[in-house]
Amino acid sequence: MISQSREHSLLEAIAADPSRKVTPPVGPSYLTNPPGTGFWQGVMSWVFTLDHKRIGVMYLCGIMFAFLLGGLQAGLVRFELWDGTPNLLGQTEQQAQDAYNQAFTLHGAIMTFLFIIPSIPAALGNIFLPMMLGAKDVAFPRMNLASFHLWCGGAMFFVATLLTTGLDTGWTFYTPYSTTTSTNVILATMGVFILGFSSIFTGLNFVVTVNTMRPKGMTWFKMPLFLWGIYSTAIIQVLATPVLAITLVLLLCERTMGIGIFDPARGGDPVLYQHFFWFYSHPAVYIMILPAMAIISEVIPVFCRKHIFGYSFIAYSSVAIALLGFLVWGHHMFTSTESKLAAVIFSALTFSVSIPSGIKVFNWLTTMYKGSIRLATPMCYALSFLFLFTIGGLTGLFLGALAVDVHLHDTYFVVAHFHYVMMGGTLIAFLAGVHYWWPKAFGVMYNELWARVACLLVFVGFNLTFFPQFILGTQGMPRRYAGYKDEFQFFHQLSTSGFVVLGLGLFLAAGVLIASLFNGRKAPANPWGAATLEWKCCSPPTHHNFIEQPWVGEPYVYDDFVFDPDEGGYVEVIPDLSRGAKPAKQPAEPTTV
Amino acid sequence: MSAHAHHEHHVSSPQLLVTTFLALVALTVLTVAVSQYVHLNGVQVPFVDAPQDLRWLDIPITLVIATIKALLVAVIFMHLQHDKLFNSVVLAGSVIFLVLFVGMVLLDSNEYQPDIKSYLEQKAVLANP
Repeated sequence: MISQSREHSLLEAIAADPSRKVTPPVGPSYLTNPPGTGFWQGVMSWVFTLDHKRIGVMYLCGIMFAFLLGGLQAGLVRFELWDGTPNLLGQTEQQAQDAYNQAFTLHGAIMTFLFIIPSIPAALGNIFLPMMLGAKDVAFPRMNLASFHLWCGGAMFFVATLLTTGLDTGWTFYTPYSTTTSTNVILATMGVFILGFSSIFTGLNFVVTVNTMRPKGMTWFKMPLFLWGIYSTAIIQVLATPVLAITLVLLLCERTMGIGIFDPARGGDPVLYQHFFWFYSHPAVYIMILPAMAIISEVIPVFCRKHIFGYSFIAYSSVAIALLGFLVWGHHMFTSTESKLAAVIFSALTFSVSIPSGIKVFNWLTTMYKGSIRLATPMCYALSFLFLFTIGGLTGLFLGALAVDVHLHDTYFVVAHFHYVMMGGTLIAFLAGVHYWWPKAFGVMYNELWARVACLLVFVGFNLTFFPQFILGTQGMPRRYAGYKDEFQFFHQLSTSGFVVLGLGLFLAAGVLIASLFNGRKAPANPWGAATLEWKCCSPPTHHNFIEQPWVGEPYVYDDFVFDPDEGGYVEVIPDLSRGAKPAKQPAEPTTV
Repeated sequence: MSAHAHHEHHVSSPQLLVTTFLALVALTVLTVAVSQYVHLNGVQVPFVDAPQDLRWLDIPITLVIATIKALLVAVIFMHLQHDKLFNSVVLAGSVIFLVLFVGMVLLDSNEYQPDIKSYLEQKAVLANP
């Protein structure tokens, strides 16, 4: 933590010698085109841009649209469950049940494949990974653009599924039902297949970028932890996603050509499908949560004004989660005739993942200890994450225990658990990241008060929605049923009420951010006092990010940053070299590829 | 000019490339021979009932040959021997993950086969009492 006397001495130093104040030169924003650009020329300059930031912004818009679509499906599910009789989504009970099956399937599939998986890596990662490296762009800009275009293609397949016969298999496409249902499995699986390629392209790009484009002085253990998280995620994306693609191709072969692979009626093995599917889809859970953890590792030290505690442990734990995440897929199949031997092995391995996750949580808490905590909006979301992810993680241990899982499997307990991890973890961290980097990406400050109110609403609404589902699950309410017994109604209505509050909070958060684009105060280069490189260019950045190469230093040392009222943000003060001080930092010289 | 353009690229000799190619062809011929033409007249192989056929040994032998071929391609044709160690680590890591994946799936599948067998037998008995 920086002492007050240190702050005073820095302010005095820049008052005495303004040249010691590092102010990034301002250039034309990457968001705008040169004057005189025609409308269609402008549109094309976005659609076919190679600028990683523009691609990231397009991803951000795309995934927010997907989130809205998935959220609307969630609304249909929750309102259908207001009372125990299926009557909202169809005229007859059967129609309502069919429509309910489609609503929860598309909610899950859209949220998983179109929103959560690309949310942090493809949107925020694309915008900020090269900037954190002091680089101009990612290693393969064209592949980056192709990744986004593929995402759009995959999204179109999903929208086509939604508009045609729908999909009612559950997001997991379990066989043998998925080989026989009359809904549009082929369109949806083609969509997932294409999205898989998009994901692989992004992952490959990030692996190469981090390996080859780190600036001089930024060794592996001087990288921001966000990069460690994104790098670990990219490894999973590259290794695991092809397995999903192959599995879905096999499913398509079975469905279209009648080859017996997974369908027992044709001599196939349905458990084999589950093995194949979860070999990707469990690591995919870590594709979702690792970048979220990476954001929290950035936000907490900045808003505590304190060096991150246990840097190398957090870095290694990201890699450990990525690797261990490959070894636990069988815990989704404890009740699917998985053999006892495999179940015992997978159960034991499942518990091992909690070790690196626990390391991260304790390191974040220790970072906060005796820190100068500032409850700005990103920090409020980070605190929500700590609370919600811990609940989500700990309830995962219940499900990893064999005997307990037999009781809780396919109940609302599972639904609540993964929503606490995926939504309470990833979505909340995503919101933390969006609020943290918004001033840099768009060059405007949002209204802090309303953003914090939105955060509070999201937190309260989320808990009200999902905590009752733990109770429902332990009482035996199965998931994926449109109707239920009267004894469950109170908790379902509590949950639906929570959904309304959560929705209000999310719309308010979106409204606050969008309003800032029109009337927000101009953002300084470094509004939060962070030490990573993306804050060392102007807000918003220029097309090539840095007009002057930034100095590479320790990413979590804040001793040289002080709030400058003239700038309305933090400035970096370089040491007085004329008095013999040796620079602890060196100018970034990114390796070009 | 990119920094990588200055890297020294190793050029393999034509003899090495031709020898590797011939080795790959020979291994392909061996794979076909093992699957179709092996007759171990009078030679008793442990755990193999019929001496004219390798039976369950066919697949492991074929996989070993295929692995050797893949390694030859990766090491010599794809220049892994002259590349950074990191690339070899990536290759080894991928193979380990594949082995883990396939190994665990086969382990599980073998464990529950008796259950399926008994289910099918019961079904057959019920169908033809």
